[in-house]
Amino acid sequence: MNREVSKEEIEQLHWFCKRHYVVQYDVRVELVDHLASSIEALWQKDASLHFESALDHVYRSYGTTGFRKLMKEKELAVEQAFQKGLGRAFAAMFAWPNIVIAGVLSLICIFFGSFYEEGQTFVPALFILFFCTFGVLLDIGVSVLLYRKKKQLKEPLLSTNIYSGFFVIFLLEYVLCYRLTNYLFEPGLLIREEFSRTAFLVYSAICIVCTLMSVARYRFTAKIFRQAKEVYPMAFRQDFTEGRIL
Amino acid sequence: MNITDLYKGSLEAIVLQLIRQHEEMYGYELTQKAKEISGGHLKITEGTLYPLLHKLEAEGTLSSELKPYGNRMRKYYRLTPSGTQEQEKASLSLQEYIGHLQQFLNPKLA
Repeated sequence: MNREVSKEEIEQLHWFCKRHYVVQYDVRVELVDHLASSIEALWQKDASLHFESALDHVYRSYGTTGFRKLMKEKELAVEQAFQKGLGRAFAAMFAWPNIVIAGVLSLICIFFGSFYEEGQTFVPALFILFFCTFGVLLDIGVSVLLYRKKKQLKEPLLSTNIYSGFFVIFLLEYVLCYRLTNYLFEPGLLIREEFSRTAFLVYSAICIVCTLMSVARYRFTAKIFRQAKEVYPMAFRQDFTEGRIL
Repeated sequence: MNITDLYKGSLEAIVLQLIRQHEEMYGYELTQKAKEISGGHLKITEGTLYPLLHKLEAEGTLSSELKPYGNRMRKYYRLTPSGTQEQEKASLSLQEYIGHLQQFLNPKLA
């Protein structure tokens, strides 16, 4: 009968991976199986070989950099896949039925833009200021929801450890808010009435794109968590795996 | 010239073909099968294989399932319906490529 890696030795392999900076469960679980399979292949040739010696032999085949190359390549693949997926999620916002959101936002902007025909510039300017503020609050809300999802993890996962461009959207909208406030109000909060129609159109377009990006970011990240939970339920806290994810 | 280098551009098509033939496969099994079929010439390293599998999974070409195996968990990959179409396309492209290579190597047949 072929010698197999025992439960205690599997635990040792997990610790070995962690000690070599492979802490993420999704990478580690696959690597542990790979190492265990390689060790068992060695035992087929020499069943008397000590576990530590077999592991040392297998680890040496990874070269002087150890697991670093594997981790680097894997991180790169995750990052590229995330950026591509986020791009696809954003593009999907312009397809049915998601395009309804863009349509409704555009109609609201058109409605407030119509005030220019009545010679009023302040109403559209104030609307844009509210729209930007809404964008900032939406981003904060989305980030809080995503943070709560991350709290469900018992073990770190590489596939959910993602940078979703939150600060870029947030900063853009914050800068818009700041500029608009300075633009609309003189020191002492006196109202200026010189917000051009072109500025209104540009600000509207930026706000619509930022809102769509925030929604796409939330939907896509939530999908990643859902998929991760399906494949790696053990990486999630039990009370969360039983219930629904936000 | 190193034969392993010649395999590099075809790695994705080879991996998809192997998974299709076996229905579902795990990482180590893929490396061993590739080595066995190529007579030891195709050595897929972990640093190449796992990022590729992750990319294919994220693109929806492959789906995966974690199943217990002995004392450990093992991740199995299988083709999704769209992955099967991708595999067919990749296989055709590879055959076309081999045909073109044949023409370079044996112009009389062209």
